[in-house]
Amino acid sequence: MSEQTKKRVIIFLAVLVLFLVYMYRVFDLEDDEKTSALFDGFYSEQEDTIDGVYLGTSAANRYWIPSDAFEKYGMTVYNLGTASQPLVLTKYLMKEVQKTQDPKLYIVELRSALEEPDGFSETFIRRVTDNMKLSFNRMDAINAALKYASKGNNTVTQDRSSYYLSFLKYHARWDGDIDLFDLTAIETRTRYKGYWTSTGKTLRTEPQTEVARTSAAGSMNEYTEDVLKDLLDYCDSLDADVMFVVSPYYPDSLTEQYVLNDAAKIVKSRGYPVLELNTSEKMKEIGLSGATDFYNSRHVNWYGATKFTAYMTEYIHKHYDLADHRKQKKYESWNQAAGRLKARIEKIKEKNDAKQAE
Amino acid sequence: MSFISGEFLLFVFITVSLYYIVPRRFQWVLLLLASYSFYLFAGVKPVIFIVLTTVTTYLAGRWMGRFAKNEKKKKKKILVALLLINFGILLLLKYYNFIAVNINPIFRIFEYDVSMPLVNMMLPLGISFYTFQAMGYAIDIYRGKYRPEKNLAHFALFLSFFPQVIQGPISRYDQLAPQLLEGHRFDYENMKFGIQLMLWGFFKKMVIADRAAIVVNTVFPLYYGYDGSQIFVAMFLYAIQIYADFSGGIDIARGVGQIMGIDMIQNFQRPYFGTSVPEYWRRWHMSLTNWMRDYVFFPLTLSKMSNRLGRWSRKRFKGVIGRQIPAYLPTFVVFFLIGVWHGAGWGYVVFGFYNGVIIVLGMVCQPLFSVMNRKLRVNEKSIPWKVWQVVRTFLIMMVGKTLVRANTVKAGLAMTLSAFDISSYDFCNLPHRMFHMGVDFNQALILCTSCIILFFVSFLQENGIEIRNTIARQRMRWRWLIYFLAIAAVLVFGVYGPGFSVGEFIYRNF
Amino acid sequence: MDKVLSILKEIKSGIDYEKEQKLVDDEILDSFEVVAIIGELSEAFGIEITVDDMVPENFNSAKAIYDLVLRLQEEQK
Repeated sequence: MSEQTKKRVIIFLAVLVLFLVYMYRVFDLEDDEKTSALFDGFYSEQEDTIDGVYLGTSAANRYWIPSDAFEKYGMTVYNLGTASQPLVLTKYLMKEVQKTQDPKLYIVELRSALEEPDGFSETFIRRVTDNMKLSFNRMDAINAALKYASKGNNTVTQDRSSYYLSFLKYHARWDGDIDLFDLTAIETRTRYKGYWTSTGKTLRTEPQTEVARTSAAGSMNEYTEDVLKDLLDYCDSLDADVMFVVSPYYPDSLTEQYVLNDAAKIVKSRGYPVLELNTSEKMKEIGLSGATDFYNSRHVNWYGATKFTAYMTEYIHKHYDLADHRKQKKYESWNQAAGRLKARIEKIKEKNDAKQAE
Repeated sequence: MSFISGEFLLFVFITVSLYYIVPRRFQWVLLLLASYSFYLFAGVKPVIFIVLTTVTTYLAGRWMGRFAKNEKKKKKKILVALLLINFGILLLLKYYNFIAVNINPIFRIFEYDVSMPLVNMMLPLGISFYTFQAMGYAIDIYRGKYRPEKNLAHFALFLSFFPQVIQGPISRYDQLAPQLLEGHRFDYENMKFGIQLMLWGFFKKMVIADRAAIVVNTVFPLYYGYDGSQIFVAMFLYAIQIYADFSGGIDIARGVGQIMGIDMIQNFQRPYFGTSVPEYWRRWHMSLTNWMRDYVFFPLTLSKMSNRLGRWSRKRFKGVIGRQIPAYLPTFVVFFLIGVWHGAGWGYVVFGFYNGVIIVLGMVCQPLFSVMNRKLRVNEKSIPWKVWQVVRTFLIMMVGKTLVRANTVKAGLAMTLSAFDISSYDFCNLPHRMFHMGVDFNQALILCTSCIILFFVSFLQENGIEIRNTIARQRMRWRWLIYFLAIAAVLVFGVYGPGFSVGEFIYRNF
Repeated sequence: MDKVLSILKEIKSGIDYEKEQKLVDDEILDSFEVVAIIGELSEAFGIEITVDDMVPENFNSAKAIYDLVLRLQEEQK
C-alpha cells in the first residue's frame, strides 16, 4: 500500500468518524420537554461552580427556581429534574454530576417514590440516559433502569443496545421527524438553570380544591423501596449533604399519600431530613394558595414556584452552608438566567393579555 | 450470531485484525479457532453434530483413500454408510417432527396404538449447509477427484468456516480448502472490495429486505383481508425480500472472506433476470443447484437404468423428446430435494413439485413452443421477447415462493388466484390501499428507491459491468460520495428490527 | 470428430463448436443438453459414459468431447 493510499485511508477514516458523530448528534432524542437542552446546559457549566443539585421528577423542575435562590443568597443550586425521572437513576445522576462539579448539597424530590415497575416507560429512562454523555456511568444507569423495569408489566424492551447507542433507535426519525434544525446538530441549552417553563403552563392558573390529607403511612412498592434503600446507601457514602423534599400538590387519593409518607419514614429512619411540604399547614406556611398557584393538581405554576423557592431558599440558608457567589464574576451566568427568566415571564404575560383582549 | 449485529461486526473486526497479525502459516489455525468460537456462540450443545459430521467424513475419506481407484465396491460401502449416518442425522433433526405430524393420523386411521411423539429440537447452525458440503467432499473422494485431507483440523476448518456456516455457499473442497490453508498477505484492494461487498449486502438486507418484510408480514398472515392488488404487491415484495435477504447475507459472507483474501464461490447471479425457470435455477442458490447437479442429477441420468431408458426413448421418440426423457424423473427428484432442503413442510414439498413440473413441462412442450413462435413470427432474440420471458419467469417464481411463504399451501393458492384476478382490483382506492399494508408513504418511497437502485446495479452487472471496479476507477470525490451515501443509507434507512441484534436471515435455521 | 460435431449441432444449434472452449464452464450447454449429448454419444460410439467422466475438462470443447470418446472407446474395447 503506497504512502499516498495510506494517507487517503487515514483521511477517509477520520472523515468517517466525524460523519458518524454528526449522525449521532442529528438522530437523537426529541422530546417535548427539551431535556437535551437541560443536560447540554448542565455539561456546559463551568467546573466546580455548582454547589447544589436538585433532582427529581416534574415535581422538581416546575418547582425550584435556581436563579431566584441565587438572587437572594447567591447559592448555585442547579435544577436537574426531568419529567417522570425514575428514582433508580438518581444515584447515577449524582455520580454524573460529580464528574464536573463538587456539590455540597443534594436535594431529592421524593414524589418519585410513587412510581412502580408496572407502567414504567422507556421515555422516562431515555429523558435521562439519552442525554448523558457516553460513559460507564451511563451504561450502569441504563442497566439499573432496565433491571427495575424488568420487575413489572410495561412496554420497556430489555434491549440494551438501543439505549447504549441511542442512534440505533432514533435513526428511524428520518421518517418525517427530522427537520432542518436537527440537521444543523446545534446544541441548545437550558436558559434558566433547569427551571422548566412553557408558554401554556407557566402562568396558567387552575384553581384547586383542598383534598383530604393524611399522615398515615402505607407501604411503597417493594422494588421502588429497594431502589430507595440503595440510594440511601449511596448517600451514606457521600461527603455532601443530602436532603429530601415532598413538594406540595393535590394528591388524587389517600393511597398516594400513604406511599409518600412511607417513603418519608424510611428516609427519616436513615437519618436524612425530609421536608414534608405536602400538608395543609406547610402549604399555608409557604403561602401557597390553591386558587392561584397551581396549573394542575400536581404542579405549581410560576407564582407557586416563586413562593416554594423562597421557602426552600430560607431553609437551605438556615441549615446548610452554601457560599454566596453574587459578587463573583464567574457566576455571571446565574444573573443572566435571572434576567432571562424575568423576560420570559413578561413575554408570557403579554401573550396571555393579548389573548384575553381577543 | 446474526450478521446484523454489533457482535458480528466486532467479531469480524477482531478476527480479521488477528488474521493479519499472526504468522501466515498459522492463519488457518486462527480461522479454525474463530470458526468454532463463532459456532459455540450459537450454543454449546449443537457443536456435537458438526463435530460428528466432521470426524465421520474425515475418517471415511481417509479410509476410502486407502483403496485403489478401481476398488469401487469397498469404497462404495464406506460412502453409503457415511451418507446414511450424516443424512440420517440431518433427516432426523430437520424432518422428524414433520414426519411425525403426518404419520400419526395415518396410524390412527389404521388404529395402531402408536404415535410418534413430537420433540422440541433446535437445528444446529448451518446443518443443511455443512452436511451437504461434507457429503460432496466424500463423494468427490469416492470418485477419486482428489486425495483425501490428511489433517483433521484442516478438514474441520473446511466445514466450519464461519462466514459460510450460517447460510452457505456450499463450497467444494478443491475450491475452498487450499485458500483456507494457504497464508494470505494483507491486500488493500481485497480489504476495500470486501468491505464494499459487505456494505452492499447490509444495504440489501437492512434497507430492502427487512423493509419489504414489513409488508409481507402484514399481508401474508391475514391475506383474506386484502384485495388482489395488495396481495400482488405483497407477493412481489416477498420475491424481492427473499432475494435481497439471502443474496445480501451471501454478500456479507463473501465480503468477509474477501477481506481475508479468500474467494468464496458465488451463490447468486441476478436470478430474476433469468429467461426460463431452469435458467433461474442456474442463477439462484447456485451452490445448491450445482451440488444437486453433480451429486444427484448426473449420477441419476448417467446410471445404467437411465442409459437403458435413454436408448429406448431415443428409438421410440425421434428428436428432442426422445433425448430428454431420461432427464425427467431425475429432474423431479432434484427439485423435490431442493424443495424439502429448504424446510420440513408441505409448502416445501409442493414448491419442489411445482418447479419440477414446470421445468419438465417446459422441456416436453419445447418443440411445441418453437413451432408456435415460428408461426407467430416471434423474434426470439428481440428485446421485447426477452423482457416477456424475464417477466413470465419472475411471475412463475413469485407464485412458487408464495406457496412456501403463505400460512398453508391452500392459502398460497388462494392468494395467487386473488392476486391475478385483475378484475377484482379496486383502482379508485389504490393509493390508500397501498399505504395500508404496514408501510407509510415515506417507507414505501425508500423501499421503491432502494429497489430501483438494486435493479439498476443488477442491470449493469448483467451487462458485464463490475461495480466495485468501476467505482474504483472514478475520481475520489465521486467514490467517497458513493461510499458515504451508502453508509448513511444503511445507518439511517436500515430497518434494525424490533430487537436490533436479531435481524434474522430467512435462511439461517437451515 | 464430424460425428461429434453433428451431434452437438443437432442438440444445440447456433454455437460455434470449433471455437468455443468453455462449453460447460460458461454454461453454454446446460445440464439437460449435456445429458442429451451424452445419450447420443454413448449410442453413436457404443461407449459408456459415467459420472466419473463428468468433469468440465471433458466437455468444455468439441475436441475435449472427441478425446473423451476416443479414450473411452479404447478403454471399453
